[in-house]
Amino acid sequence: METREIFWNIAHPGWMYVLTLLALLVFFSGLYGHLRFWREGRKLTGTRPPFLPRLRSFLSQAFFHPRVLKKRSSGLMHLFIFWGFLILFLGTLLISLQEDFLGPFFGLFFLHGPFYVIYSFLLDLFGFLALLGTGGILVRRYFPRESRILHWPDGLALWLFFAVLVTGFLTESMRIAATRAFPERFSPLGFILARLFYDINLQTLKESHALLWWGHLILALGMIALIPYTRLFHLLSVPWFMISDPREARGVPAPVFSEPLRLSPDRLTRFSRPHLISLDACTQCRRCEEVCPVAPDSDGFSPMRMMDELRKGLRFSRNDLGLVKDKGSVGRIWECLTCLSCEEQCPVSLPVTDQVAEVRRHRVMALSRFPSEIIPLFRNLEIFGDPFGMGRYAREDWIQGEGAKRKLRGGKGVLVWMGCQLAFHDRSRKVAGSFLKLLEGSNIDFTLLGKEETCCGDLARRLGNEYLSRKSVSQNIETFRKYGIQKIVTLCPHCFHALKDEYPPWGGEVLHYTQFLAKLMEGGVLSVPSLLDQKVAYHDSCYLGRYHQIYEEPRSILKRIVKDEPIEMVRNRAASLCCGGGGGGFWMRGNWGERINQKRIKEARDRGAQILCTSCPYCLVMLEEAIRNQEIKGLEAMDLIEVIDRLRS
Amino acid sequence: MEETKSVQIIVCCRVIRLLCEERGFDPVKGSVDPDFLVRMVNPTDEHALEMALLLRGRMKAEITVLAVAPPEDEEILRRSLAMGVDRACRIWDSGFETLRASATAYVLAAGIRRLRGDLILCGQRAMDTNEMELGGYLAEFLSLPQISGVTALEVAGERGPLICRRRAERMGWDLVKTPIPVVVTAERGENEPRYPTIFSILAWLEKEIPVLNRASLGIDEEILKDWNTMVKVLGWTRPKPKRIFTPPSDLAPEERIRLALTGGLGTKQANLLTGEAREIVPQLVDVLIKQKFFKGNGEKSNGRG
Repeated sequence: METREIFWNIAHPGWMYVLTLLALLVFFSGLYGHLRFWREGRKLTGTRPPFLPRLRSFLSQAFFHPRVLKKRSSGLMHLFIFWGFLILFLGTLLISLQEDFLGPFFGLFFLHGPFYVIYSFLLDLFGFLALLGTGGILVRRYFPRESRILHWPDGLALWLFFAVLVTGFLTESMRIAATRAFPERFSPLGFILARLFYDINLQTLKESHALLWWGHLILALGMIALIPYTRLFHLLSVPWFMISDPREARGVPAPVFSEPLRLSPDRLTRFSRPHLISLDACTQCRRCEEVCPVAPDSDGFSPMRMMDELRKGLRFSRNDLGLVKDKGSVGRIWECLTCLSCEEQCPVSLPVTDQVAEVRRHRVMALSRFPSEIIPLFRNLEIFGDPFGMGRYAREDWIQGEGAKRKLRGGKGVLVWMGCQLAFHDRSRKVAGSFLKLLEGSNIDFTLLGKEETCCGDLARRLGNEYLSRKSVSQNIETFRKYGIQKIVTLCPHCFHALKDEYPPWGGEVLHYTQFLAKLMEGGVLSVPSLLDQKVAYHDSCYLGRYHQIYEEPRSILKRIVKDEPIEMVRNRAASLCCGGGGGGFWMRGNWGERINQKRIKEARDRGAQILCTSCPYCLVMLEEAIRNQEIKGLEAMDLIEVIDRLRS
Repeated sequence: MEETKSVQIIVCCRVIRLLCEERGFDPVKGSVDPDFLVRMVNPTDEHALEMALLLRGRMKAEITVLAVAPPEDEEILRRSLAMGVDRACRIWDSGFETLRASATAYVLAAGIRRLRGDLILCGQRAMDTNEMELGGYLAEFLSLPQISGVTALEVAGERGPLICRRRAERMGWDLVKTPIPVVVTAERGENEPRYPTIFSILAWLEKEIPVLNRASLGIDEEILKDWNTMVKVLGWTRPKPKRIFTPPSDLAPEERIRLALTGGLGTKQANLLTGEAREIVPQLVDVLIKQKFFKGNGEKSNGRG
């Protein structure tokens, strides 16, 4: 009968229980520390998305790793380690179940016969996979300089993994070598390794086996004890976060004020519970840092480091944001462009951008400590209702032609929401003019708000001035109600995101113009007389793409107006590189934005594009600026609207 | 021993109304469309307030904001109060809509006497009327010395004397030492008015601001009228259209917008050329051509890459 003696060659297995108890004690005291830290978080109010879909998504992520596998090699290694240790853990649990519970109390021994064969084989196989994964990760973490581990205890945990697996296999193979038990050939790796020890005399073999067995036990227990003290803790905090994730949409920081203008005293100064859990759930895998447009050029900002600094700072200061130091990434938090690449890439989709918003809000609203170049911006928004400080009466200046002027607050049908950038910036005004021409040319009813529009609130919100943003939000909603607006088409993705997801429900539909025009073109209402004979590449704007997954609409428009197939940028769709203008980056003096747009424009040139097409006014200005700055010939940045307009006129 | 009384700092603030450019003005009716009015606290008044707040950090003082303002301006005023003042007081009565600087100062002086102010601060210049009269009138009515155009204040002892820094010609400074009480008019330059925190804003949203009127201050209507009509404005000319500033296109967009917003005022970019004279000269020529000091010989230079 195929089986084995469980405590073969072990003199005093009772000590094992003492050690286990000790390890569990250490483990639980660490866990208690985390729980206490989480409890310091502010309680969230409001509804949460339903529980079951979250659970389902967690389980599929846990067992099949679709997000982790976005990075093929390291994802695969993680998958191996996950499944390897899961099966090994379950296997050990089975032994414990038989030896400590079912065996002594009910006389039930199930680890024999065909079941044992399968059991033994599976454990060996998954142990091997885990060894493969751990080895791979060790090579990845310790050889190339850039993906090194941030804190040494995490490295220790990784080495511990490796040591546990190696000692496990050695113990097994020595047992096989000493007992020469043939059923053990169902443990292929152990069986092969055992041949190494066939020549060693039995006594030495037995002694070293016992030594290794205890070593393996201590290492394994040490691993368990270390879980709450290292990044290994992610195997508890990640599930916890994913199941308790309060977000309904990405990139929408939780509102600060309750209606009416009320602020609970700890709303700004303390992180919420899910946010604290998410800080603990970060494994410092560096994926966010790799895709962050700012991190390579910045002196210190990286999403991962920010999470780490916040975690350390908040834990040390008992969740008081005021005590988190203004150094490092937290100090450079103004460089974040809120492009959402980090959250897109994060295997757990941790709310990094929300945390940036929380910290900025605290710095602006509670401490009044922020880069001084934003003050005039805030003042302009306060006094004039736009970031340019032109005043709302100047919103109508650019509107040409009697037809469009008649649409001002008088038109029927869909509301064309301009947004500050299109209403004031010289370059973007051209785009807005083209759009109105398109609509008029295809006889579509629309209306404009003109001077009744104020900033949508996105800019103030991204820069942490929720109070200011809230004022314009309520003013705009009032205007919508006044004119009975049902449907809005925005020209700017930033306005689109704000109006669609961040405004309290006001009872209307919001579309971005790419969605609107794509529908018109599909229906044949809008068409171009001739196709464009140039190579066109499309630059995905963050707030359209990653925030709202609008990737196909602009491409479908392009396909209808361009002769050849449009070129795809190397980094396209969800992997698109930010232009450097989002999240207030457009308005700040730092030079990180500039280098990013130059990078992007070089990518377009290398793909051989003649026109770099986009659908965001910020992107347009930033990209055009880079073309001028780099003196690149034969490349033009254009808005999608302008391309259509050029073909029609 | 008696505890030293804290210095009463009074900052006179004014809510100004602006029409940007000429939009909203109906030349036929001679009226202004209220939609086009921009209301804000006079910027130099805010600088004065900031100075007072900085001073309070260095001596025992209480800050009161005093404003001649209609009830609808209270909302605008509160934003400045939230910068951290201790008290605020508003003076308003019928007929105060048309007060000129002299008469406003007369009313304010009555208020200041009532509040027993020691140090009176106000902005040097009103941004809307562009007059610089208020401080002078205040000093006259209160029989106090006046230091004008102050950009920074220091305090030497516990209750003064004050050391005022004024900007002089050719980037120089005047330092003026003066005992309290005194009237100081502030000019922008060395401080940036702080941005109020949300807690302060919300607190000031609910606080009631006491209102004084003509009767409670004991202002004689006839004298007020005399002061108000003492200066007559004979006429205005329309301002020249603003020079439209176009920033150089090779700057970063943020920089360009900032320059455009400030009308071209900003830090100048400096290029340091290093190397031997022989290497520098062609570079220098390139720079001068690029900056349009003189024309190159037809060909576009690419000396700096």
